[in-house]
Amino acid sequence: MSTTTFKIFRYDPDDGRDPHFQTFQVETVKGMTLLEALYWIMEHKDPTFAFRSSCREANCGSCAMHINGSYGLACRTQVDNLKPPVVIRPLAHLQVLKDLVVDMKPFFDNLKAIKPYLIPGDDPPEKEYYQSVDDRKKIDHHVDCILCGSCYGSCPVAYGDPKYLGPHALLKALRFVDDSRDGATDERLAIVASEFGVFRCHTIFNCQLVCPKDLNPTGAISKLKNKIVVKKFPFMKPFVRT
Amino acid sequence: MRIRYVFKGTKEELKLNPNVGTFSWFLHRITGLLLLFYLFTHMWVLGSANKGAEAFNQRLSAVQTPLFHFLEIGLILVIFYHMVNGLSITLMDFANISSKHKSLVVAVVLVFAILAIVSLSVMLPRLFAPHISTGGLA
Amino acid sequence: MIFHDVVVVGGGLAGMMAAVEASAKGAEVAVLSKIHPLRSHSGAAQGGINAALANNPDSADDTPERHGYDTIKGSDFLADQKAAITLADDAPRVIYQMEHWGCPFSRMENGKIAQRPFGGAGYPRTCYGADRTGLYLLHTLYEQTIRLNTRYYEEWMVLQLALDDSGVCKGVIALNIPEGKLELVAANAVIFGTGGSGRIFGNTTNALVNSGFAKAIPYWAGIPLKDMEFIQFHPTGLYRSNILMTEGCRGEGGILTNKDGERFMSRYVSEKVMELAPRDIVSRSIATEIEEGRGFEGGYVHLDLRHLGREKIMERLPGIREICLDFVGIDPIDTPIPINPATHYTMGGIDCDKDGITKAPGFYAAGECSCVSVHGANRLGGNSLLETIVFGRRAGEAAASYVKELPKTGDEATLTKAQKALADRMNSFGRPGGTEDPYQLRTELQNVMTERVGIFRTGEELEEAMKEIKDLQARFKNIRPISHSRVFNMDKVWIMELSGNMEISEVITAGAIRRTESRGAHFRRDFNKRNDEEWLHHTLATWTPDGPDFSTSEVDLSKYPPEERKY
Ligand SMILES: Cc1cc2nc3c(=O)[nH]c(=O)nc-3n(C[C@H](O)[C@H](O)[C@H](O)COP(=O)(O)OP(=O)(O)OC[C@H]3O[C@@H](n4cnc5c(N)ncnc54)[C@H](O)[C@@H]3O)c2cc1C
Ligand code: HEM
Ligand code: SF4
Ligand code: FES
Repeated sequence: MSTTTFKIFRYDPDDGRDPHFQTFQVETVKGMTLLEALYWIMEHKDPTFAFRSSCREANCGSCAMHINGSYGLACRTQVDNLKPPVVIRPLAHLQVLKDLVVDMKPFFDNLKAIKPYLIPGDDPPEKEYYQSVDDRKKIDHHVDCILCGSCYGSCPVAYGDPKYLGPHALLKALRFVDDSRDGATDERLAIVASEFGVFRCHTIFNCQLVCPKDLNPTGAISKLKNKIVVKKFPFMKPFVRT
Repeated sequence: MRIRYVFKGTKEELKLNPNVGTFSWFLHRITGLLLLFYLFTHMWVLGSANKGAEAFNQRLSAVQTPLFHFLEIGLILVIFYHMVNGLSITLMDFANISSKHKSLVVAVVLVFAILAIVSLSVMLPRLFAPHISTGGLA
Repeated sequence: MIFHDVVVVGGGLAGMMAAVEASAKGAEVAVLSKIHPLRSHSGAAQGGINAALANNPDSADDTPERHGYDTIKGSDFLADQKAAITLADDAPRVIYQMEHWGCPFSRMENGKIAQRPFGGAGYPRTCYGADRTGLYLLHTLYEQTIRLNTRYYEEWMVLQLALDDSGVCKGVIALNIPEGKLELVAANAVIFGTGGSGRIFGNTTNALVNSGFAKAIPYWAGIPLKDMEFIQFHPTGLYRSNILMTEGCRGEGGILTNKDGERFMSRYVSEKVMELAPRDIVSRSIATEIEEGRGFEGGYVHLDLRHLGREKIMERLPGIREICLDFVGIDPIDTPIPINPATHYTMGGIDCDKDGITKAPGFYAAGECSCVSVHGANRLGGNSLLETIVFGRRAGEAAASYVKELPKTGDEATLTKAQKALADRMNSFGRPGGTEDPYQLRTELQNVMTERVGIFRTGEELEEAMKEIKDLQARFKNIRPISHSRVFNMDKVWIMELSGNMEISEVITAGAIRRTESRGAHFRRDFNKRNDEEWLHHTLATWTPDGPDFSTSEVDLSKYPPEERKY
């Protein structure tokens, strides 16, 4: 057992103080995850400390935060791999409700804007839709997004404009565009080609870098851009990959 | 207000996301703005020089100084960076090779370095021996 | 006071499905969930969901009837047979429904939903989406609720059920966590889809939020809990963190080996089933190996996937590999995974029938929190995701038709009374001057449960556990005061959860003491045989101030007579 220094963002709307950093000495053991360290603080040092968590296995997307210079899931991060002092902040671009808890409403509102549900092309058959193994492969990684918000926090464009749909929503849009069962491609492309859609993206790659599920929202956005380009200018087809 | 918000935000983003991507984006934006600034000054200089032979000679000799040669070197590096990075972004989008981001960054740095070395090897001597280059141009 | 026609508590698969179905049937619905719906633990389910679709060439003659039979046999004949048959019959329909809604199931060469073998099933019947089936299902249903514009109250934790004097459910009292306010939510019908309670135990595959509290709420309100002594231990929890290594690992061909490299399952079951015996049997086999000194130092055995090869692992079990890399730093492609059995599932729950109807009119339950009884004494893998959707749907439908004729007004008097009862309960612990550390108590309780109420039970150990639980309950009354912070008071949330664990652990243990036989997941060393004469019935526990009052109810055996359960 050893102790590690943590510097943690604190804010409580009720206590009249400005947001600040508080230092904690945490007793860490080998194999301890950051999430366990946060619980250690809450249980042993300060019961008012607030953060979100649920699955503790990098699957539910609750615990995304800014950890020592990058975004990631607390439950998936081993304390041993962090250089002390470990600096923890909440996700950026979303209003802080308390400590590490942010208001995810804009994040989910953006998701809703892209109509994140299957709009079938054909009437459903009696059994399942036919989908070939190759067609299923096209959506292989896009469907693994856990909507944790790491990418959204890391995206400088999302800072500039809260209406920017964001990597998560655009990735989800591609998940449906590329789904052989979906029949609303034109409508979806029109949504993401809008003022707050894909063309706001500056190809900065932070979203791809931070995604804890190793997904590639940047690539998804590129792909959507290309699909829109080809739709508007069919002669571009040989020059771009959709 | 808005401007301050932009500056503060950019600073914050750089601090919170110290990644290649953030820096290259930031540099791209700065170089783009510098180029814009350069383009207008360039037009203005050319425009004001276009008033007869005397005015032309006077303007030109005003910029044929070590300081301006130094700035020219800066300009060429700015152009190269903006160009190479811009092309790589375009390639990244059109060819959809975003999963190869790391290799592309390496390529950008390499191409930029080659271009820089070649142009510096031409321009640096000019900076230290102004008479040769002015002689050649004037 | 807020009023909604139907209030669904829980944003997991069961809750959302109930909400979707109730609004499809014309009811006005709102969903309350203590975490955002996508954070529910349904999303952690990996392996798959059962339905006799007969898509796999090896399952061409599979039928719902066989699915029903496997479920009943797997339950050690404690399942209600009509309910189990309903589960199997409804299965294909709901799977197709989920597929039509966009669930990205993996596919077979013929373009149909892929199916893999799972323990205790006669055929490869488990439909899957890689090893993220739960995640895909959860997101698909959430997407449908977006389409339907379902009203959500996210991060509202229900603390109390409001029943009027004649026992009719009139709504709930909830803590609005972000704002720190108590909210009175009136409703004509309340559907609970509040999930599992593995966190009563220390070594669990469950999410941190899966506590016993949600089962304690109806229990305190006088609604009986059924078969709570049946706790499933999953054979393959990752060593130390107990994160689940899906049964799909074995379904795809993974094997279990002890420290001598021996494939030990042959000692316990026939060569035909080996690692794919039902979970209770595999868990006991592993525990026996470890107990008899054939486990590795520290108490684990190996789950070996190496022979499957990189490609298959990457395609079918990518999530498992990711978890291994993240949490133990090994790659299953070239290293066996250290595993031990871990608390996984609560077969028991709120006593209800196959339409979610409980003792209290207007109060419905579905999903893992309920006990229809389709799982009996042991649940088969892949049946509980199915249960959430099948019975979530049925409960939604039943609630919608129940509220149809009722006036659309809330019963404020009943809610105010419930609020008072809640205040009394909350004042019974954490008073000024209290000294006990609640989190210390939580750990102690979890240890008691893990060590004494685990895979192998004996009367003596259970009695000891009971004494310790009583002692912990007394100490719990004397915990330090709860933090006063208003916004996002996690201290309050966790202490409430703990208050539920304190109650439910007693119900589990008392039930286990009573049941002097071994059936399914409940294994008594001192009574190691199934005893149909005395114990072929459900256990019902009803709350009284002095602990659970037990009664029994009959098991529906209308289709298959009980037989010895052999694999
Ligand atoms: C790791 C793991 C893997 C599994 N794999 C499989 C599998 O492969 N196949 C299979 O069939 N089954 C599997 N299961 C079992 C299955 O996932 C669960 O039984 C099922 O998902 C439970 O769903 P649910 O909707 O009932 O509950 P959950 O999804 O747990 O949802 C519970 C909901 O209730 C809410 N809630 C709880 N208490 C309150 C309260 N007091 N107030 C307000 N809201 C509340 C929560 O916020 C949550 O939204 C697995 C389980 C685990 C733990
Ligand atoms: C050499 C040829 C050039 C190429 C290949 C190029 C490429 C690009 C590209 C791809 C972008 C978009 C970057 C993004 O998405 O963030 C861009 C932005 C920009 N460029 Fe260029 N460009 C070139 C020349 C110029 C010139 C000559 C100017 C000056 C007039 C200029 C000014 C800008 C500006 C101001 C921006 C906006 C920067 C931002 O929004 O971040 N560029 N350039
Ligand atoms: S794309 Fe990745 S980082 Fe973004 S929300 Fe999804 S899982 Fe999180
Ligand atoms: S707690 Fe679920 S992702 Fe971290």
